[in-house]
Amino acid sequence: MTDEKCGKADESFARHLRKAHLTRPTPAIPSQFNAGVMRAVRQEAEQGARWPAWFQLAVWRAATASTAAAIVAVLTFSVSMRSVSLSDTDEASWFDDATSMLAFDQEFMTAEDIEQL
Amino acid sequence: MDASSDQEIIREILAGNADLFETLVARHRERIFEMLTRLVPAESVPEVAHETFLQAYRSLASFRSSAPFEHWLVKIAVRRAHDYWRKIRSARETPLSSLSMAHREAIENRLSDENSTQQESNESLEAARQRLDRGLNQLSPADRMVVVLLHLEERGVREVAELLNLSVTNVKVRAHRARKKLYRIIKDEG
Repeated sequence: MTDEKCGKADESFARHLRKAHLTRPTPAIPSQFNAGVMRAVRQEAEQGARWPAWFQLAVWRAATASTAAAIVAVLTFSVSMRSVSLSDTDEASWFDDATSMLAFDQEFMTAEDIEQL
Repeated sequence: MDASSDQEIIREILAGNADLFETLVARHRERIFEMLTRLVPAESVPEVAHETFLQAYRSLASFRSSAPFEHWLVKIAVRRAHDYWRKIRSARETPLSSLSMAHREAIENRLSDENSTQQESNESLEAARQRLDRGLNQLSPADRMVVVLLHLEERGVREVAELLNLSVTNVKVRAHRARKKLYRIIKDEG
């Protein structure tokens, strides 16, 4: 076979593989799928008092708002942190959880994003 | 609720109404299943989809409203698929070489008396899928994801880099090497 013919055969073979890949039949969604996810989510939510709702909202707002709004959100967070550390008897472990959450989310947020927070 | 209110739902969930997460699951599960079907074996799609949604819930506070929620979810699904292959690879007990030898023999028997190029064009899509999967199984998890997203799904280099958290250069280099390797594996098999 000439090089040109080989090239064309390869190209057609690659197209065939691509078609095979793209036409994979999607499996049926199990009837209990939503229920399974929500059971796990509720378990997380129950344990999730680790990160109070106001903290999560502050992080989310900071990540989605403009720079100015982000500063306000962070200041709000700082003030809240102070009040938490004054009132929360378990502030050390709470703070560990909060910082580990930020570290964990580095998967989705760049170092600059975290710095901006 | 309509499609434009994902953000409103997210705000409510973050304010403590975890039950509303089910609305997001119901709204996006089909897309995630469809996407994962092309990234992991069919029997593992529900499990990886479950992990995708759970991870999304855990990281919801880091979601940015500048991009649609579904884009963010797809990114999580791609990374969970990558993790899936990493786990499979580290847990694999059967040496790949012996698997590929057995498959090679079967294919050689099947193709022995016909021109291979002719076979390729006549090969059923299912057989092509199986052959492709055997080839992909021999790539590293990261190379596999790059080849699938870039060459099979024809996504852009920048998008693949972002999805896999790699640099654009890294994606290009991996793609080049992995494509050549996959080509060699599949051709040798045929």
